[in-house]
Amino acid sequence: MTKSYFIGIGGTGARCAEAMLHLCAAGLGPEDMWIGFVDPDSSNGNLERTKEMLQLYQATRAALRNPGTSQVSQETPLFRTEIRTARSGACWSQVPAEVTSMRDLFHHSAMEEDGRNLFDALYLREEQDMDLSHGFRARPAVGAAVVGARVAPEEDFWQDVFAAVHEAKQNRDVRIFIVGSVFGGTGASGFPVIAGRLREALNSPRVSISGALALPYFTYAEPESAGPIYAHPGAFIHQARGALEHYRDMLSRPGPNGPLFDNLYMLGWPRLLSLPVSRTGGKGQCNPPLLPELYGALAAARFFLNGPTRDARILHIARNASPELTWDDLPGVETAAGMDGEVKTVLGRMLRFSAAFRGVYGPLLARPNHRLYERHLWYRRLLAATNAGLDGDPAQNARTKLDSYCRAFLRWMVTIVRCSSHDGLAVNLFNDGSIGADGPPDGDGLLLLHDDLFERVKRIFPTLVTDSGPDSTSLETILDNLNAARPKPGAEGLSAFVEALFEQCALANGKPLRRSA
Amino acid sequence: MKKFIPTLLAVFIQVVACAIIVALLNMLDPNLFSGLLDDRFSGRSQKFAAEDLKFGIIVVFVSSIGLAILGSLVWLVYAAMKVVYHPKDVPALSPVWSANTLLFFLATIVLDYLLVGRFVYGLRVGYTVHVVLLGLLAFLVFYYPATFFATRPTMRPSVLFRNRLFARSQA
Repeated sequence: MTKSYFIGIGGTGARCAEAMLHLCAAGLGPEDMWIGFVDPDSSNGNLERTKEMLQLYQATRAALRNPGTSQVSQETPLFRTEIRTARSGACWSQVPAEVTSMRDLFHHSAMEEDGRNLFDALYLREEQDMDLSHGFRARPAVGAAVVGARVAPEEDFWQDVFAAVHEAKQNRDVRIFIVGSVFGGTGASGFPVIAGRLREALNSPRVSISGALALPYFTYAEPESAGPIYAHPGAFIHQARGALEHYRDMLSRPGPNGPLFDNLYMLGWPRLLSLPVSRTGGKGQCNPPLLPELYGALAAARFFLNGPTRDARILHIARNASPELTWDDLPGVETAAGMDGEVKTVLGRMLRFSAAFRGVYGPLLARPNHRLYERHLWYRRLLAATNAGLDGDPAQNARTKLDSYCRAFLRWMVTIVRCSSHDGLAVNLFNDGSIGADGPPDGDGLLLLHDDLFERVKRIFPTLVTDSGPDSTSLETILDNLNAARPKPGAEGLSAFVEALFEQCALANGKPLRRSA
Repeated sequence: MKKFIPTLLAVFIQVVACAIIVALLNMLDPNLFSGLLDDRFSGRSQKFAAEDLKFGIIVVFVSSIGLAILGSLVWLVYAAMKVVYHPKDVPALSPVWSANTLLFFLATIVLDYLLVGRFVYGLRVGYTVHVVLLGLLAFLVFYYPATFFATRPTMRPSVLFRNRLFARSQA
């Protein structure tokens, strides 16, 4: 079995990881994936949100794939990917806990005079004293020095990744995907340094390393009280240009261990998306998810499922020139036989499932309510006959987790569509107005949902996803079909019902995509 | 269209079953009905009166079954067209099903009495109730299976009954 590793660096990496988690939940991930985040700002809101999503994913998956209690069948793609993290935790900070600045980290006062002079020449005094606990504030030179000094197999976090060399020796494919931005501090500095360290340590033909590098795609109003050093959005473009020149030089001169990346995806956006919040570091830095991050996650899914593309080193993902961004513009993920790699099919089904579960069936299965429906055929066939035990805590725990996940997924989808739209480009993937409430993003960077979700989607459910096929099931047909459904072989408990509902929410074949080559 | 296929199939099966029953009744010996004849028939006229009686009873059967088919068709079409997005919208013992059943049940009683009184020639008066009851039995035999099995699962009366019983027990 292929071993897959996903490493998200900085805020952009964390948000790409969030998108990757949703793809995995919808069934577009590998069977098994290790995930880790690199960010010195452990209280960063982006990272916090992704870590919470990771915990929710793992808890939901464990509840739905729990043999003997509640288990989906082997074939279902729902929460297919088993996601692991390092034993020390999913997040790793390049900056040790006791260190607050570069001067501390490099023991400035204990340096020899020549070294100290060189250090002072390379870094401004403000950079040397900058508080590293909130990231590198778009100063990749600072980040590169810190990361380079700290990525090592002795670190608990990196042990699993460096141990992949043993997998490669057993003729297993190892695929490592790194995501970061070129324009920030943490991502820009960590991306090439970490890739270089891994390539050096895992030098084997069975090990593929690819990455997605996000070019500037968002901006925000400059914070009023951020101190002398902060991520200045106006400098993103210039930093990106300088960084791209560096990458060009680096990729055109392969090192002794071969090229740094098997494939490198470059992500961008036609114009900078304006974020509704302006914060720099800390819990407040919780940006809304944006479409380029989904592109990054799709690149990772493609890499994990198919391996590197052999005839191309740098891949550009482009969209059709049109004032409307639709499913046609999202790249498909070629998958193994039996899996559906069409993003519209996969995310559309997950969206419909989430709306149906959260808006209709989830609340019915709560402990005080479910008995009202135990005479219904769908209940008797899919819940009573499979010993769901909805009065018990395990089933209710699974229901609650899945409900929370569906809510998080819907909020993420609504936010990604609304916040990625701007003058001249309307993102039209689904009818977001029927799901998401009006107003700015909440404190966690995500938009809120309508309270009366069922009332808003019940009539438009077949066409909820843009360009749905005319035969996509309505909520009415889903209820009829559930009444006639039988549990899949191997499915048991609440998961048998969940799987049946998930299947019923599949999109009918819509109009063929006009994807350009 | 998918929802209407069971309805069409149910009507077709009912019509075929009705035709088979009528054919079987037609094959019966008219003398079997002579015991139901009024005393005024005797001798050679008894045979002709028994023939008429058999025909009259078949008319009662066919009309009862016809009403059953019509009644079940009305319910099946209603059930197929009823929009239910949410399980909580599934009616607990649908008033439509109750009203429809009652209406066609009463219509069958009235029609059977009318037919027996006007067209069933020579039936002994005391047996009128028996023939009407047989007509009602035919009605029920055709009406219930059709409404129970051909209704789409969401609106199936057995589910609705159980909902009603359960709602009562919870109350």
